[in-house]
Amino acid sequence: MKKLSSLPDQPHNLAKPSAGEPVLIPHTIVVEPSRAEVKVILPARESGLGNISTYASAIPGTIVAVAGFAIVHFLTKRRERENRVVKLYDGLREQAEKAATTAISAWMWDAGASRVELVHQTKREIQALGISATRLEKASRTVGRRGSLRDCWNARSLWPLFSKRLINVRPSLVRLRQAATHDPFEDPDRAGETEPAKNIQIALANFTHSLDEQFRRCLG
Amino acid sequence: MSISVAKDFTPHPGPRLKKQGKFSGEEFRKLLVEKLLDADLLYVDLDGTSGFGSSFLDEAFGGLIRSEGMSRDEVKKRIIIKSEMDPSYKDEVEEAIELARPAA
Repeated sequence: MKKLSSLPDQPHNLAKPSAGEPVLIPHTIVVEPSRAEVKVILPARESGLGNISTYASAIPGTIVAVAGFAIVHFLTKRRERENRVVKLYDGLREQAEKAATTAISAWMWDAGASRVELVHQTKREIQALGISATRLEKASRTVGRRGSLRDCWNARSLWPLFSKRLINVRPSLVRLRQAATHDPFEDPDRAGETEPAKNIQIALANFTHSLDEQFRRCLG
Repeated sequence: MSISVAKDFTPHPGPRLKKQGKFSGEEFRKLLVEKLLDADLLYVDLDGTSGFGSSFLDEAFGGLIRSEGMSRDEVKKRIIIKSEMDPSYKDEVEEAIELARPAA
């Protein structure tokens, strides 16, 4: 080991490492029995989290796990949003039928306090229907499919490819309200009538048809 | 200037005409005309009521053209409808304004 102590720490033929390169540390190994000297230069080994080679082998597995988790999370959220749309859609159909039934009763009832109450109830129920339709339209924004090439052809524009199919039943809702509350619905002097029932039922059928059609297009 | 049907008129809008009952479209139209004397632009908030009948909306807004001598363009320019809870009211008001014809 005498020779070991006589060796220089930094041989002259070793270039000084520049920034970013590993530090080279010279080692002297004395080989018995010939006592020949073999010089081995090993790069200095870094340790700790800064050394990427410590955990490099685990990186692909981690990426796959995180991607899998993100996909499952995305699909679960999407399923929740679709369920919400389905729930609102079912509720809207029921509300529309209820409002139409109340309107028909209000038309048929003879003048009196009961009819006044039915008239108010009709307006309340149609407004509730409108509020639910607005909620459904907003909810459909989060799940609606994008338009197809056929939609583009029909619209003579590429816009449908970039926009989502929403459930918008406002036009048929306006028709239902008009059929239910047109003159002389609120006239206190009118007699009970059965004639408007037909128009209300037609408006209800159009409303539900429009709702079904748009629901089918929205969720595919 | 703005006006809320629920806060400044009634939360329970009534029939078309004053003779048919309280809080009619006709009465509300008179209120709109009064407000329009003081303002170039009037925001009308339809939210917060228990519900409108078609005849109330037609009389209040279409009536501005039929009975108050306003032109369609003037009504469209000076009245801004806000109805966030049920935007179908806004559609119906716009239709009423579009279809209204001045009284001969």
